[in-house]
Amino acid sequence: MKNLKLKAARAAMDLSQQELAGRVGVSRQTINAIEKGDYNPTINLCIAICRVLGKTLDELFWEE
Amino acid sequence: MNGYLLAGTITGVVVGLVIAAVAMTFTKKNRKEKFTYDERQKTARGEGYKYAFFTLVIYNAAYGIIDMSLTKPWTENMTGMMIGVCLAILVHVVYCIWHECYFSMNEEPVKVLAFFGIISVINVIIAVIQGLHGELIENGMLTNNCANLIVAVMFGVILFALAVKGYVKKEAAEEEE
Repeated sequence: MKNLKLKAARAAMDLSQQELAGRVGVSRQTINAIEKGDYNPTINLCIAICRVLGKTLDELFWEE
Repeated sequence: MNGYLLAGTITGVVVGLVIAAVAMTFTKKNRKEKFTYDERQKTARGEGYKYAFFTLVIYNAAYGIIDMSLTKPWTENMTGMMIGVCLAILVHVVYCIWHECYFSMNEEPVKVLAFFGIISVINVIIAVIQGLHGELIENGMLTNNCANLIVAVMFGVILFALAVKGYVKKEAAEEEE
C-alpha cells in the first residue's frame, strides 16, 4: 500500500526524495520504495524519517 | 597446467585485482568514505547472494553430471569453472540492479558504467583476436583462452541489464508524473 502520508509530509517541507534520503542516511531509491509501499522500513528508519519531518510514528506509518 | 598458461592466469588475476582496486577508488563520490548500503539494499543484496549461491550449486552439479556423461569434455576445467563463477556473479549483479541495490550510496553510477564499458570493450577485442587465431575452440572443446570472451559476455549482460532498468525506471517516473 502506498504511503501517501509520508509523501505529503515530505512535500509539505519542500524536500525532494534525495534530500530526505540524505538527511536520514539512506538511498533515494529506499525512500521511493517506502512511499510506493514496496518496502517496509525498520523502526529505526521510521523514527529517523519522523524526526526529520517533525511527525510522529502514528502520523506517518499507522494505517487507519 | 603449462608455464605459459599459469603465467597468463596469474597475470589475468593480478590485472583483474588492480582494475577492481582502481574502479573502487575512482567510482566513489567521496574517496574518504567506504561503500555503504542502507537497510533495504543490504536485505535485497542478501537475497541476491542467495540466488547466486544456488546458481553456482546447480551449475556445479550440472557440470559434473554432463562431464561424466560425455566421452569427450566440452570445455577445459578452468573455463568450465569460470563459466560457473561468472554465471553466479551475473545472477547476483542483475538481481541487485533490478532491485536498485547494486550501487552503494557512495558510488557514481555513470563512472561505474564507463568502467564496465571499457572493460567489456577490451575483453571483446582480445576475444575477437583469439577467435581469429582459432584459440577459443580446439578439438571441439572450449579452451582456457575463453576467459576474455566469458568476461566480455558477463559485462555485456550487466550493461544491458543496467540499460533496461534505466529505461523501465524512466517509464515509471513519466507515468507517475
